[in-house]
Amino acid sequence: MKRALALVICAATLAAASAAFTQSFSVQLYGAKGPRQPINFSHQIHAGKLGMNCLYCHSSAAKSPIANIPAVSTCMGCHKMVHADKPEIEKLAAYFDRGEQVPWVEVYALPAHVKFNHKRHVRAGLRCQECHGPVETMPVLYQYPSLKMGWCVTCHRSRLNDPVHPASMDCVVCHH
Amino acid sequence: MSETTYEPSADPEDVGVGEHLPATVTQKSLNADILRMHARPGKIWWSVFLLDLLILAIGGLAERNQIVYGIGVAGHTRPVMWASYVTNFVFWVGIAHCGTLVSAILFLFRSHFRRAVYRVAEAMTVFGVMTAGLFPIMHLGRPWFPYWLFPYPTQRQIWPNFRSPLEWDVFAVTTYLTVSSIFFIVGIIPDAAAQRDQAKNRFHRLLGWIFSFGWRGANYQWKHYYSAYLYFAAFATPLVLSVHSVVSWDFAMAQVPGWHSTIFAPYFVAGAIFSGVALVINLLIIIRKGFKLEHIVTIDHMEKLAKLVLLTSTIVGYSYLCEFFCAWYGPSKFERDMFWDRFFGHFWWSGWIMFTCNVIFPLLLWFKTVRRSTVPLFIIMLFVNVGMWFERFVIIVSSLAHPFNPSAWGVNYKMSWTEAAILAGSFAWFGMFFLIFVRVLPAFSIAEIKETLVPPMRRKAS
Amino acid sequence: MSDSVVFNRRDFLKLVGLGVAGATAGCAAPTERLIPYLVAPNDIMPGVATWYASTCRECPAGCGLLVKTREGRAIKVEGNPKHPVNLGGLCARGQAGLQGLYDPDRVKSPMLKQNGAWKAITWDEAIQLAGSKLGEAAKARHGVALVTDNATGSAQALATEWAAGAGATHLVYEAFAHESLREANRRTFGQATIPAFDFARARCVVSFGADFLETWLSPVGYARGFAAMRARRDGSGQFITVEPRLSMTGANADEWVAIKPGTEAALALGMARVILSEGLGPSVGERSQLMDAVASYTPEAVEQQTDVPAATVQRLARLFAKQRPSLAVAGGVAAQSEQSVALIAAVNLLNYAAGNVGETVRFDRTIDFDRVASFSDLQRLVGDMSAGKVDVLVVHGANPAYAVPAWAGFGAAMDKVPFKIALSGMMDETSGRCDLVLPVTHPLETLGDAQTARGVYSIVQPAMQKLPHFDARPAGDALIAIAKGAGFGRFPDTWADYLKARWKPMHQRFGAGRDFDTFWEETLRDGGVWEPVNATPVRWTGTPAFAAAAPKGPGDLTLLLYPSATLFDGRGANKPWLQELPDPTTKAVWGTWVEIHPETAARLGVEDGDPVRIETEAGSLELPAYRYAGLRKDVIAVPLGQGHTAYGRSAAGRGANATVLLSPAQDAGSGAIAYLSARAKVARGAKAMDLVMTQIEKNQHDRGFAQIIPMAALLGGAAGEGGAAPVALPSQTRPGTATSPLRGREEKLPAHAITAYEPEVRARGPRNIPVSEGSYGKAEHRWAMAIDLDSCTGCSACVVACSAENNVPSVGPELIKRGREMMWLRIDRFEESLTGGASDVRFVPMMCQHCGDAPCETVCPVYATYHNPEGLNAQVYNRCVGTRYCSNNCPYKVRSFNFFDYSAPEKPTFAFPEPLNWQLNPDVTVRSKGVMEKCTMCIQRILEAKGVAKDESRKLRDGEFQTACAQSCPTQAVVFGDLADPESAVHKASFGERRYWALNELNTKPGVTYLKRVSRRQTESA
Repeated sequence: MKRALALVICAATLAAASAAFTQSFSVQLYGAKGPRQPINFSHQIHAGKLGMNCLYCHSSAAKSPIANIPAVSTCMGCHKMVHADKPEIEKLAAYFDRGEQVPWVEVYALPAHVKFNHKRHVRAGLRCQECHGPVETMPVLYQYPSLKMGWCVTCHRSRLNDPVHPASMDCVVCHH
Repeated sequence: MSETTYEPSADPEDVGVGEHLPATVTQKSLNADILRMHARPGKIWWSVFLLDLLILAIGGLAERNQIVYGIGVAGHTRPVMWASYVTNFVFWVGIAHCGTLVSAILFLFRSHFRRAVYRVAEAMTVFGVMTAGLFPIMHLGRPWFPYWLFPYPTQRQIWPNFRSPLEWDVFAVTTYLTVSSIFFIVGIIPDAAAQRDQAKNRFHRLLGWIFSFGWRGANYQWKHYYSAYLYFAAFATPLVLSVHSVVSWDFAMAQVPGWHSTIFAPYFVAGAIFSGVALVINLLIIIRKGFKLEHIVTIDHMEKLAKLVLLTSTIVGYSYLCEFFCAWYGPSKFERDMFWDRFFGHFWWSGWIMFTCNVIFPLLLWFKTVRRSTVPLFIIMLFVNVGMWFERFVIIVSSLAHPFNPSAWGVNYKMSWTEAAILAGSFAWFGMFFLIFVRVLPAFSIAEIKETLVPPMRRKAS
Repeated sequence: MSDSVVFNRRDFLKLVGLGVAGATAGCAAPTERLIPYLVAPNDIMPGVATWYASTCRECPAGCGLLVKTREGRAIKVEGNPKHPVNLGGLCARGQAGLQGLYDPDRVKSPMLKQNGAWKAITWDEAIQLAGSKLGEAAKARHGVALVTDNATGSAQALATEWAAGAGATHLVYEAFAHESLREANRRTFGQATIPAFDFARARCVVSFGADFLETWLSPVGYARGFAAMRARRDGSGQFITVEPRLSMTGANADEWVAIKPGTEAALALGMARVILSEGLGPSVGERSQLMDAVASYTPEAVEQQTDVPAATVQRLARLFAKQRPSLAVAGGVAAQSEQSVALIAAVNLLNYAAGNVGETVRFDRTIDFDRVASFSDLQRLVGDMSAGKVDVLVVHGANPAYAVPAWAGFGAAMDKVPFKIALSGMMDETSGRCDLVLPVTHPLETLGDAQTARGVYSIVQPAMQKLPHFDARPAGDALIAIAKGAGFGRFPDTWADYLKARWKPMHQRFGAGRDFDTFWEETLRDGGVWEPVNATPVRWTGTPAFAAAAPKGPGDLTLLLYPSATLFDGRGANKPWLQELPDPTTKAVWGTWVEIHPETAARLGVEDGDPVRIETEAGSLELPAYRYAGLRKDVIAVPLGQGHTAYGRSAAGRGANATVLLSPAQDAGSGAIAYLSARAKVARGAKAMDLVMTQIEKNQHDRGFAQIIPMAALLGGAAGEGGAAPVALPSQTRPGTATSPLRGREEKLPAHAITAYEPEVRARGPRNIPVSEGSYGKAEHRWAMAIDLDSCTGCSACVVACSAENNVPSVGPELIKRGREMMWLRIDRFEESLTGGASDVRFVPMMCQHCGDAPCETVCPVYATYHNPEGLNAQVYNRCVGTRYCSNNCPYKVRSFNFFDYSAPEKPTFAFPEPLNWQLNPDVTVRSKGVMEKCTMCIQRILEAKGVAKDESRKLRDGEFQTACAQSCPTQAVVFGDLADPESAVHKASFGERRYWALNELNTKPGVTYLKRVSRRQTESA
């Protein structure tokens, strides 16, 4: 009896410890559901149903390390006319008229000591979905990958000797 | 105040040759004497214990501050990036050394005097390592990440750097802790059984039950027990050399002038035994006085240990001179400057404290009367440990304070209150374990001492 | 890691309404908000830097700037390579201009003083109030006074116009106005202006106290020229410094003539006499006239007056005449005595006699100080003010209440003025005495122009929108608004209009057929327009009377007050970078000290840092001692620029303002204030003091950190100290291939294994990972540096540049005293000998050497520091656990450790108080508590440049990008590049014959190669 108990305790501690070690860093936010945004914007409709190109809104992803959130003016470009009567669009218009930016909630957050470069990845011919998942099927955007270092490294390792776009395993490329 | 000794029995067959226990010590009285230590503690013990806890708490608070505000609350500077914490680490590892020596090596050499002292030494070893192990973590800039030094499969797919002496430390120290603990526990089995059978209260009986692992003193048990003990002794012996050699390589493997030297491994091992034995003597003197066990831990035991100290002291002294000779005779200007600075530079005092306490004072041990009187012995041993702490301080701080680039000279390390509190706390931490230990487990090896007793029937009329 | 440094994002997002804020996003709290553009600006791309050309206003020199902005924040200033004044370099003070822009102590809104207490008011109220006051005053003549700095250009014009309208006396105030220089030129050449000194053309320079590499006139430009002169390999380029105190500039000299303070003129004339009498110079018409002037200055007489041996006088004269065109300049403390006009006239005479006028001293690109008021003008104003003749005083851009010595009584006089208005961003001593403070914008957020030199029309361009929370306006707008409020003058509605109107004629001259807008845009892009100007020919017009200056007062020591190389006249004092930048000579920070000769110190029984009491007839002061052998025994020296009573958290209460030691004394010729006029007594002081130095040991103990090679040896081919540097054979220097003694056959040498370090080139080191099966990617480059100690003047511009680029925190005096400075790059200064004549002081920029076999790499238990495939010794902050083993094992001691969380706002150690943290470079992680950091060779710039090259699918070009230090270096002493490219500048430099490595014997195979300094010392025999 005592022995069994001891065994259980030991096993439990071991499991906990190894979990703590291997899962020692993660930036998963809001679980798998994604945050509630100020406006119920649906990637499913825009990227999926309408099949809009990601770069139409997130234009700087191909030109800059940082992928931009589209300006409200970009949204209004279409929505001045399109569905201008829908309640969500009215919310958007309200922001625009007030000259206020829409306070979107961040879904993909990296710690400050990670320097991710969108441009390099897009230019290397990665499809956005390879990291961001099937965005075109997400009514509410959620964090698809774990964003853990292991996730980055696995991919980089696999393309280490890629003839065209060799990935780097040099730490300072992302940590500087 | 030398004490009267007891004539050894002249009978060559006497098991107790070389052991000088008084005739009054009998099989029966021995158990009683040792287990008497487990009686309900008195005022003195409690007051000591509470004071100890208080100091420990202060040290804990200091460490808490250091974690919250950053390692900057300690006195480190550039270039002196290591200071009291690493000093304490090496000091305690050194202390921890003597246990394995006494129990393993002396066991293999069949030197019987160890029997009366080795349990204390082993306890000191285990607790010493437990203390030492804290410092590498406390001295980190980010003490919440020590586990990064352990090789384990992580999602990051990175491993520690096995070329780094600090990485070797991780293995050396953990190994040493494991082996010395096993040794300690195995050694205690028969006595724990005695405690289990004779203890007055349930608590002690329970502890006895746990540590005796169902020992019944059966013949076959003794047989296996001795072979196991021999095996562990053989297994532990190389550790005595390895552990402190590895610790010394933290310095020897770096190229800092004053560190980068091949003499370090043997020199550190000798120093470790030196300080360890000194502390054992101190502890024994206190215990045998406090628990009135002078007739079991006799002054002869003390003398033998004192001789060990004298021997290692000379080795250490030789190493000092050797280092200086090499610095003076060798080609490296950096080395020469550093050693000059060590004794005539900013930290000259620490250098001289080290030399006096470790080389000059122990010379007194050449006198038999000194070796055989506890008070001077106790004082000398205290000085030895002060000296040995400063030895590490000198090696670490004064070397770092005088690096290759002169533009870094002159910025000097000053010990902060935090460091002082943590140092005191480490002694309290060690003391806490020891104070409890002597109260709950047999602090002397009843079984082995009994071997040395003259069987009553063989006793000659005096 | 740095999430604590995320400043109020809303605020700066307002600047551009930008998306996710790069690095500053931090370990996002679950409610991190992303603020998109409202209307996307077309010229700003998040994550991509935008550059704006502008002009530096940190000192009157007016160097050209390129301001780097990210997400609408100015994050770095660099020299504009196209600008004629500085040609790309920028000094420490210029770099630190950013901290003036983001100064947390800037005034937030107009402030009105009501019975002693400050009260925030609106701009309208302020303008209305100021207008009415001026309206009343304008009626009474001389009722108004306007004090501005030497703004030049349109700002100057506006001020003048404004003053005229208001019937005000306009005073252009500069603490160092160089009146004597202008006056002397007027008397001797008939030109009351400051000529262009062409150091580049000179073959030999003699400086009579002019610290032309530190603060004198246009230091960056002069440094560039000086380096060009030193680069010549024809046995020319000697630099002799004549000064009682060896300054940083003097430390670069081949010979130090420790002359008796005040008698410099005699030496100049003595030299002129030798040249004239021996007919060494060209035949000049006025020979007889000049000869008469110098007749009495025989070498012996000179020796008598100046303590300079007659032989030296002759030798210097001959050298000066032989190495024509040569150049003699007089400035600094020497030219601020009571006989400074005499001195400068004497030096002019020397130049004229040697035929340098028109050669190296030209009146073409003259420096514009013409409008700057002389000190006597200031005194006149002070007189009027104390006489109650001034009703309204308007001060802009100047801080006379601090800079004018106490005896002139400017502050006291100010209090007599009923209503005082300050147009100032800072609550400094002057603003503090005013009744109304109108916060004006910082030059980096203001449109304007500057015309600091003839033919140079620079643009001051706003690099960013006005800082939120700081309700400031351009000074021009404020002045115009006040004028309109008071109802005088006819001004356009805004300052911008006024400026554009001023540029219309420019358009006529330079427009070349383009319409104004195109011209204007191009001008903004280039940072201005400049034209070549013809030198005005000058002849010798008259010889003033020569006399030696004799400091007055009790005591046997002459007191030298010199402008601080880091704080200039004190305007840099509230910038942590400058406070923490070690003084190039003493390596002291965050305070004031007194330099005394070791023997004097011994006499008083004081060590470095002990208090010394200085007494002059004007007053007394206690300062910590700094024992400096680079002084004459009969002088003591104190830097100016500290001792502010206001002006902000970094400035107030630091050090002391030594002008209190001055008693009334002015230059006989020009009325300029005489800083060199007092004698002093010293005694051991009472109160304990702190002298915080970053380098205490001054001798390099023959450890070969700073090496030197005689010019002769260089011309002769043999190398100097440390034996001949091995000159590698072509086969060895060819990167990518090497013959291994082990295998004996050609084998591929991985790029990161290449160093200029010879053994490495021959054989592969044991730990060099082959490129092909490299466990971390391909390596095409080996980044390396070559640092030319012959060009390095020790000016420390690179140090500030590095801190700015890499988010290095300032930690303050207390921590520096405990050896915890964070600078990644420092200038080690070693004194070999400091005896007069044969002085030998050496500067070594010391940063991470990026060793091929780095001691730090092996000892890190967690691979936080490791060798990167491109030869960098990389440091991964977020992997570091802080064992500090690497720092112990680093023989160069160039790793700095974050003992505290310097970025955490709530901690007392906060290094970036809002809004200083706006300057942080988003491409560089802000390090957290408990991690090691060090020079990365600006890895972020390397990666960016590689990215650009990839996008354009081409190879990296040599020199297309530089590290911050290399870019800022006024003398281009630092060369950065790819060692694996045999054509690269760094490769060529690294294999030159002057190369050596610090601590070569440790076999660390550094990636930084030093080039020995060249000694051009002349001996008596020469």
